[in-house]
Amino acid sequence: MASSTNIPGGPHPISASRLDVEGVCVVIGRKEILRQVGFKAEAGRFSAIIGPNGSGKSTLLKAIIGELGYHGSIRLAGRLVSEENRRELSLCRAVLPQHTSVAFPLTVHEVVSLGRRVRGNEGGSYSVEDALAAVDLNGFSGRSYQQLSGGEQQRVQLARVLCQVGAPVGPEGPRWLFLDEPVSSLDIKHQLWVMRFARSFAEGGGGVVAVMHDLNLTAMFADHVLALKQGEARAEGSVQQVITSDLVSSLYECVLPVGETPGREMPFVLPQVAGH
Amino acid sequence: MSVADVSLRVRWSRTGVEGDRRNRALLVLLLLCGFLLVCIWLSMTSGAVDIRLWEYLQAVAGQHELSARDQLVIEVIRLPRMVLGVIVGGGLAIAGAVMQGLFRNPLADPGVVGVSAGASLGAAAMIVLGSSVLAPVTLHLGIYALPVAAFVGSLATTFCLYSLGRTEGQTSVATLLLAGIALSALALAMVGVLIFLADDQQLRDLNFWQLGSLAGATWGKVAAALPFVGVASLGALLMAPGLNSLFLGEAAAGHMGIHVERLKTLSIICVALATGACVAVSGGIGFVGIVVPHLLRLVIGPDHRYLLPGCVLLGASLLLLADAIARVIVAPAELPIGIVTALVGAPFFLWILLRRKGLMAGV
Ligand SMILES: Nc1ncnc2c1ncn2[C@@H]1O[C@H](COP(=O)(O)OP(=O)(O)OP(=O)(O)O)[C@@H](O)[C@H]1O
Ligand SMILES: [Mg+2]
Repeated sequence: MASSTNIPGGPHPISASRLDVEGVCVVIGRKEILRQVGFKAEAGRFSAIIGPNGSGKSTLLKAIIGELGYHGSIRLAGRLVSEENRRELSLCRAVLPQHTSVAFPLTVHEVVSLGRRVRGNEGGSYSVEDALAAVDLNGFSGRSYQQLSGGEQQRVQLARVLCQVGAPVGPEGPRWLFLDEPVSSLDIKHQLWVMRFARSFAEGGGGVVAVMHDLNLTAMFADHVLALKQGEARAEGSVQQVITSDLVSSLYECVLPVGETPGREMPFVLPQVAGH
Repeated sequence: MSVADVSLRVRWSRTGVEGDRRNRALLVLLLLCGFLLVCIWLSMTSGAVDIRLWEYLQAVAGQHELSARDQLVIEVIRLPRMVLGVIVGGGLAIAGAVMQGLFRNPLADPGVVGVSAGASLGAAAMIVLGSSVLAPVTLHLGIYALPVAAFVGSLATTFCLYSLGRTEGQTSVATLLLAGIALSALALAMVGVLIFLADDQQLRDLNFWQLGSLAGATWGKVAAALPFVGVASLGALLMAPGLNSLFLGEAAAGHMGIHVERLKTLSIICVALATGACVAVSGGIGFVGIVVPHLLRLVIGPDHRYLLPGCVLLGASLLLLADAIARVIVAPAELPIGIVTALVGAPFFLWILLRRKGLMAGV
């Protein structure tokens, strides 16, 4: 699915609809967490960042969304990501963090409304009910957020993010979703549900950048993959280029044979056949 | 957890959306307006002298003659005291709510975490040193010297607290309360030093800070406190949407387009303005800032666009009520109102703490 529907350069060849990360270094304390990382994502494509725990995936995402200071250059749709254009940025991109804590006892409706208020009633935005339906949480709007399960909370946050971002393409250009492990706490049905949704957002012309741990889901849904290890980019390219036995085995330091589905060029990894 | 959770699930009206508490909040605000009127009436009529408010209103309209004594009691004693009660109650409650929103923690209250102590220190310094070292300040600021000094004191403590109490955008309750205890102790020790330096008249002025009271309310105090509390409340109301975004943390608020640093600075200033002015005119009246927002959150939810105006209304009402009780309960003498609010507020504080114990494990 991924490889057949999307050609690099894609259906929306607007030059400004890109995310360009060049030579990014992040130093926290005296520790160099990212070293000269480069990364290119385009609107209309689903880009995934993979790598072992502690490889710097969340750090890279935080640098991209302006949460962390960095050296190097990060441009979203040609604009530098900085404190000054917060308001502007909030209208063209939304962020799903790896974990969100909510301070007071809000209802699900109120959490999702927080995202909705960013955009107001402007065309292309979701209603709270629609956003909840999009993450398969119909009828949850009256529930107390703090009493939901972890996976349900993550989906509520995704609904909030959807309300904020609205349609994949607005009058000002494509919009972006940045997702840090969007499916890691979901059951398989909702993993597929959320990945399909993200995929359709990209196919609708929006940009999606997601940190992923599941290589199979990455292979199924991503167009473009960046592999990080120990703060360095090890590989960047299409799923077929990056998810190979050699690369994946050295990335995760265990022997992981990568198989391919017959007829389609979609690699898959079976943990059952992994060696040491 | 019962009240909040049951009310969360109750569908408010047939037309309303489930989980959307805005209609209910509006209704509650309306009811609170009525409650405030009742409390104003109570505050005007209770006390050593029996006053019929209705007759006073008729007298104002020119349809009735009021004795000179009654006129005096109302216009010089009761009316300024009532207005000051509204300002102080509203100011303390809104300062508490903003601080809790900023720290993302329902236990953050200017009284509990030492901001009021900082304000007392500022005010005490102005009383004791106002005629010597700080004489130029007194000269320039007039009646505003005291609230300004209290404001500086509370600003300094809030700022210290904010720098000490937060790590990576989160407040730890433990750090917050411990830092508050330390700052309070420091500020009160310095007040102690000032008491040591004070002469008799200054001592009498200082004494009034120990417990907090609305006795001695004058139109001058009203004029001194009103601009501070008014500006702080208006500022807080304007910041309500930003404070709402902070529910999800500073980073998430930033991604939703909020200038988080600016919001934090402005909230700290608002808290300091309101607390400073309230402490300057009424001493340390505790627990209003913690009880009122908490009660309101149980009923209308944490949305600051409704919570903050609700705090002004309910804070004013409850303080007037406490003041009326303080005047009546040991009549003809009168209890300092700080004792009344502490008697009710301290157990309430413990109750919140106990209820949250399960949730806070490890925080
Ligand atoms: N604030 C910080 N201070 C010091 N070190 C940090 C900080 N944040 C992250 N690190 C370190 O940087 C490295 C990368 O962290 P990061 O969170 O980016 O990893 P990740 O790839 O997202 O891992 P995971 O798959 O577990 O989410 C880790 O070794 C981590 O310990
Ligand atoms: Mg991570």
